[in-house]
Amino acid sequence: MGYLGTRDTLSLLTPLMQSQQRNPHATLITLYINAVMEMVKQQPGKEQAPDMKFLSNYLAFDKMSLLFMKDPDTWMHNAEMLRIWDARNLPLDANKYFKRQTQPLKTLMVRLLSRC
Amino acid sequence: MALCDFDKISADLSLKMKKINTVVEEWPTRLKLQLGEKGAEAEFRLLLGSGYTTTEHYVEWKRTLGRPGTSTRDVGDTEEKFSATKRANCDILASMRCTRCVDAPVYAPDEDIGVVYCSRDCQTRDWQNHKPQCNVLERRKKLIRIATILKATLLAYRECVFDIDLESIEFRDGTLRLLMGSTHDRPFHTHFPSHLTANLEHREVALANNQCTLAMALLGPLARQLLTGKSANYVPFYLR
Repeated sequence: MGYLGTRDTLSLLTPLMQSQQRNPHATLITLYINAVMEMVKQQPGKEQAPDMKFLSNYLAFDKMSLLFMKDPDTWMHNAEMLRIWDARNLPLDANKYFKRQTQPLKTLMVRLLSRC
Repeated sequence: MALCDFDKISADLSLKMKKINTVVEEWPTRLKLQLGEKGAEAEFRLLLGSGYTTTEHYVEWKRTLGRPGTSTRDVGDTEEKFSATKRANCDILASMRCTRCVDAPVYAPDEDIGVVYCSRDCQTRDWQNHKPQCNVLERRKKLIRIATILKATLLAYRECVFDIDLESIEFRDGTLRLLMGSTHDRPFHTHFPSHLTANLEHREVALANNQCTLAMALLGPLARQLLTGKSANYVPFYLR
């Protein structure tokens, strides 16, 4: 699939924008649909898991029965499990993951400093 | 999306991410109500049932001041060059240029398109005189911006829909040779073999070679929309 990415898109389209002096409102808007989830996928397994505590407030599911489903065939096709999996984006702190993606240096600094 | 440093992109392209969006919501599809608030559960179910990922994020960018070619700028060390160009109304050594037509492409090497002004008043007085030329130059600027986008579109398309069995790209004795494989079956819809060259110009030649008909067929509607300046509705289409 053709993929340009943020840098190429902006470098191509920025020249079409009027300058700040001619039009102080001139704005280019970029939309990111998958960026957050792609960043989440790169995190350790623990961070990728759905936030069950949060979801249990909204979705009624029997924690115990899910816990005892050992057979992958059972839980992979289990309706409750699929619904939880679909809902896993909702409790995410999306901003945190987006910043990790787009401000790698700043994020690293903050992480290092918070350990001191 | 690979990691990309927005701060670096902003600096390189003279752009700035707005701290607070002013046109669209930053996270329009996320949960807005707190747990326990009235309607929170309905909101949750609505979002879960929607086709949204709920992590859709809009970023707004604006240009920063001082980008070359977008403001009335100081000619500075190239003053000599511009002081030789015609001056509007006064004999004061001027160094400011009209923001509307500055950096317009020059079509002939000896073409004189530089107008410099000593002040805003000076520019205002000369406006009626400069207007016809300014209009022409602004159209030129628009044309080159459109051409840049059209070219990028064609190359991006060709990169993923490449149909030539290209074996190597060689530059010898001032000639660029695109060597084809021996197979007569044209591969259909393959990716451009990027490993063949690191030279950007050679790559563009290989991508655009013999593609005039495709360019006309592919770029017509986009070209029309860009030329009329209408806001374009793009239908994303996925290759493969």
